[in-house]
Amino acid sequence: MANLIFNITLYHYLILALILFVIGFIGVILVKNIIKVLICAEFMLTAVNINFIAFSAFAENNLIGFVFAIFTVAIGAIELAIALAIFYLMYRNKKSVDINDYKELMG
Amino acid sequence: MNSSDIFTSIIFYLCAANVIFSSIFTILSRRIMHSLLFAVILFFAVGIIFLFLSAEYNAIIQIAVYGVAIPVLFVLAIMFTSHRIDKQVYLSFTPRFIFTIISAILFVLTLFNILLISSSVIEWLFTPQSVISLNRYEMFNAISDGLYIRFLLSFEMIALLTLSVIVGLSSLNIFKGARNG
Repeated sequence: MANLIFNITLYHYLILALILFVIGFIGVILVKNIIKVLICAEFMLTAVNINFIAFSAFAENNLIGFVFAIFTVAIGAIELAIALAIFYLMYRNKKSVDINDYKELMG
Repeated sequence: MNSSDIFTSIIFYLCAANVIFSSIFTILSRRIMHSLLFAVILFFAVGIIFLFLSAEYNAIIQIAVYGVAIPVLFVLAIMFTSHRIDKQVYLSFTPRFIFTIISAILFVLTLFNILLISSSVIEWLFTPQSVISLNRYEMFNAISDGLYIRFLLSFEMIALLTLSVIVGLSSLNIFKGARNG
C-alpha cells in the first residue's frame, strides 16, 4: 500500500487529469457566466496537456507528447483570444454576461 | 523507497490537491475575479506537476502562457464587462444539471474501465517512475527536432493562424467601430 502511495505512477497523473477534465466539463455546462465557461474550457485543455505529457514521459524516451502539448497551448491561446473577442462584440449589444441571454445563437 | 521518493510524492499530492480544489473553487466562487485567481493558482500548480514529469519546457510555457498571458486577457475582459452583474450570474441548476452529472459519471466510469483494462494488458503502465533517461542537451535536441523538423509544417500553420486571428480581430473591431461611428 505504501508502495502504491509513494511511487507516483502514470495512473496518478491520468486520474488527476480525469478529475480536472470532468470538473471543467461540469463547469462548461453548468456555469452561467461566459467568462467562467471559458476558464473551465481552459481547464479541459490543461487536463489534455497533462495526459499528453504524462504518456510521453512514461514512454521510452519519446518526446512527441511534449511537442504536442506546446501545440495545444498555442491552439488554446488562439481559441481564447477569438472567444473573448466574439464575447465582447456580443456583450456590446446585450450588456449581459449571462449565457442564457444568448439563446438565439442556438439557431 | 528512499526519503526523496516520499518527499517527491508528498509535493505531488499537494500540487494535485491544489489543482482539484482550485478548480472546484473556480466554479463555486461568486466573484469572477476570485475565480480567475483560483484558475491562476491551478495553472501554476500544473506547471509544477509538469516539472515532476521532466518537462521543463512545457512547465515554463504553461506558466508563461496560462499563468501570466491568458489571465491578462481575462482581466481585460472582466474589466470591460462585469461591472454590475458580478453577483447575479452564478450556477444554474436547471434540468441540464442532471444531464451534466449523469454525463460526467458515465465519462468517469468509462475511462476507469479503460484504465483497468489497460492495466491488465500493458505492462509498461506499471513502470513506477518516469523512464526519461535523456540529459538536458539530448532533451533540447529532441524537442527542437519535434518543433523545427518533424512538426515544422504544423507550427508554421499555427503561426499563420495566429496572424490571421490578429488581423481578423483588429479588422472586426475597425469595421464595427466604423459602422457605429
